[in-house]
Amino acid sequence: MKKITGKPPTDDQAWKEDKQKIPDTKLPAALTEKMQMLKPYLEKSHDIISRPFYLEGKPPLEAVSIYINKVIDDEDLNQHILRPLMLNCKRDSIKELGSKNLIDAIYQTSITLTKISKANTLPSLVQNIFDGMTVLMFDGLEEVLVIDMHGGEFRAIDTPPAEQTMRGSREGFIERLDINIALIRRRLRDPKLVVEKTMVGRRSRTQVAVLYIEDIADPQIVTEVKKRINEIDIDGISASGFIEQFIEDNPYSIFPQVYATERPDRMEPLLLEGRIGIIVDNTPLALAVPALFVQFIQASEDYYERTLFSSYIRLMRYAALIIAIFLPAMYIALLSYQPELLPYDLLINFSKSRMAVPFPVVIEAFVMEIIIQLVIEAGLRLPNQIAQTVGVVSGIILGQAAISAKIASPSVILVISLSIICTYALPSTSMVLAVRFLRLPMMFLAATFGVFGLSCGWIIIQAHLISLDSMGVPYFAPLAPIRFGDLKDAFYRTFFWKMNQRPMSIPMQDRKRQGNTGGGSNNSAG
Amino acid sequence: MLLEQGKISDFQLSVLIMGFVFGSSVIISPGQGAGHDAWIACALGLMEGLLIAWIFTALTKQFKDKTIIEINSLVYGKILGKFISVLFIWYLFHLGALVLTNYVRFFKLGVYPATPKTVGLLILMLVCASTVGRGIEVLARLSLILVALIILVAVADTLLLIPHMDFNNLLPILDVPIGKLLWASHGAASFPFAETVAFLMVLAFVDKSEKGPAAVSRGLLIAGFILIMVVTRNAAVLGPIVTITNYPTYLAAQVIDIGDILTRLEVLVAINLITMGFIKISVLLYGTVLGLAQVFNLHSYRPIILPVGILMVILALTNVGNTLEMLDFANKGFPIYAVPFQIGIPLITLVVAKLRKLPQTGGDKV
Repeated sequence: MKKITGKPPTDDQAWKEDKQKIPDTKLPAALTEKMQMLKPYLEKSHDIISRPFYLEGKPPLEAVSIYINKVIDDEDLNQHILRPLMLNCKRDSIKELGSKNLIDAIYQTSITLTKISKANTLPSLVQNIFDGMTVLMFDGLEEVLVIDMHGGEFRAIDTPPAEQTMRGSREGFIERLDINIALIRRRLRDPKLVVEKTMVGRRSRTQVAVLYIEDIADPQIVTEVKKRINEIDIDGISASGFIEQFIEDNPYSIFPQVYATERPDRMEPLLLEGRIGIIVDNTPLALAVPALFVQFIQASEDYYERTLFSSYIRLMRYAALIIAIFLPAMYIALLSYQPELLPYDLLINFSKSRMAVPFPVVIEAFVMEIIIQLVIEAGLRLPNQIAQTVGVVSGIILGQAAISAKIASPSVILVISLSIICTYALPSTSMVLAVRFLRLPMMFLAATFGVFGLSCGWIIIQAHLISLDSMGVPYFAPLAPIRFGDLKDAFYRTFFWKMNQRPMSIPMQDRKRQGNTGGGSNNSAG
Repeated sequence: MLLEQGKISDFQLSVLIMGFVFGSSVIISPGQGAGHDAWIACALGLMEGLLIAWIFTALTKQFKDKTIIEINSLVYGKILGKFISVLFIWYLFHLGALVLTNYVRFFKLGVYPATPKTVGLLILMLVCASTVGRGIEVLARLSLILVALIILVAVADTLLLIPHMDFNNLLPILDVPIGKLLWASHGAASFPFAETVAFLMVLAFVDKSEKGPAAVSRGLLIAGFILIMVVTRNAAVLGPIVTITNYPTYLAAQVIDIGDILTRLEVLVAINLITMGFIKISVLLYGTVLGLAQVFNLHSYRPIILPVGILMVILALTNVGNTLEMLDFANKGFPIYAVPFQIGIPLITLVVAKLRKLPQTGGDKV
């Protein structure tokens, strides 16, 4: 007996050939034969509708339209296909127009829709039907018409929930690929903006679009991205995260190496700097590669507010990053190894508050950290009303109770909650996850080796960040390898009129971003 | 088959040299034998160091993009070349163990009296090994961030110590007998400046090799000036104590007291020591494993990083009996012990290469 395993029963080659399950045959001319041929593929899918009708003439031409319910736009079907074909299409008058081919004549004169193609083999026909196309088959004609009229119900364009801004656009990406591409195209009317579509997923056949500006983006990286996307061999893609995990350079790193955003106005400057956008159908998050570490600390608001304030806030965010990762660990290291570093009065306060707690600082901090992580996890998926209650219960009652029960001291709760707040000061959700993950190992290092362990941890994190690549581009640039020219948009953001060149950290063909506007004192009147 | 595909820029090389020189010299103050004239010894030592650097960079100028191991087998032939290479590798390995010893002794004495030495060493070695495994590029990039940090702390320390400085402590200048001063300055040259001879393993990977020598001297100069600043500061702050203490920088940092809030900053100094020692040990470990891989024609140096690292730890644990012995060796033995490696091998190789008119300008690239 053969054991049943998760692996495909045959080797890779056979698995690839298996794709051609549908026999590659030409379509016959007669409509009944075509229907007979299609029957095995369609009869089990009750959402597929076939609607027979006749085109006027002598004899009338029999035709069938096949489509999936609610995937196409019903109104379009009625208005632009059925009505003109059934009422206005005179077979004889078409012939008089002198078209060589009857099928060309039909769609050239009577179908008032734009996206039409033809198919003449069984596999392409079946595939087109399941891709959501409307298929028109005529009696006596071997070719069939394939009309793209995707429609149906979709979420409207909405404000992006995870990346709100005060001054930026309120539009966020939605689940429809074409709309998302249009959102970008509306902002970037450059003829050099390239949109290339491809299909990923054997069964899901998800559309994936690759966007870049032809004369800015580095052609090598473009080829590399396209190659990595095309190499993906998976049955289904349910979100852009799948693509991200297939194309990233270092899957074992906790740091995100692909930038995800739900804002078209964030995508636009990324494309302008020579990055490559990847938009996946059915996901309101677009991806951009290559990604840099500093990018995850930048928010789109930084560019919409005035320079000085944005720079101030960005510096704050870096401070938040450090605090979020190291504060609890530092607290443990100081209290258990180097209490002399703390000012005397502060140390007394800490010790007083810890007096009744029976655990060492480490246990106390570990327990609180784990509790808070769990509270976050619990609140994440709850409906809003309950999440609020959980928040109140955990935040106020749990904290108070822990202190009164002498399980935790107020100072440790202060430290842990401060680091949690700092975690969520970071604008990118994927970086938030990385930081949440890093805190515990750092606390462990601090607990075992004090400040020495912490500095080892600091070195390891940096060495790791520096060794990362995103699409072969150093991830920790412009900090290491250092690119002084790019630092103007790393820790702070300089004035727009000073950013005359594109960042070097992203390989691109055209370094010049803008002309010399002057700005600053040049603009002062008088 | 290239063992190391990475390339570093000349700027990164300078920074790496700075980190390397700061290394353990922030623990054991260079030129300490000269007492409060240590800064003079340091300055003289820096000059000697620059001279030695000139010798070994001349060697890499002669042989572009080659490490000392490859140069040796070109100059001396296969057998003798490999023998000399192994001697040089021993120097790197032993130096790495010495640096580790410095650290662990300092740790035992100053920071973690209760932690077993082996644990501290192993942790440090793991961090180094994991970085070396990522190649020279990562090490060079990392050094920039760490060196920027230590220069910041060194300058901040000095500024905070200004109220405690008494420059009368530096007088009288040239107090020590000239022989003692020269010995101390030779000590300062052999440790830390001329130790950069280890970069004979790294210089081959500078992307613009003609800029390598200048980068080495630049790094040495900047690091030298900062060390002189630190040494002068220590003497000015500590006064006569500086001659009897083992760890003057650490002691000086203990003096800092700003409004009872910023006090006892010596732990920060200790952290700096770790980060700098990390760079030095990593470079030495890198040189050792890369050298071994080249001598034995291995396909990759990565598999031997950890075993060599652990051997280094063992040597560090066993090579000296106690802290005083270590300091004694550092002050008296090392300046002589290091001469054949720091000056001998590069100088003789250079002379032999010149005599044999190597590398031949003909087509054969061995």
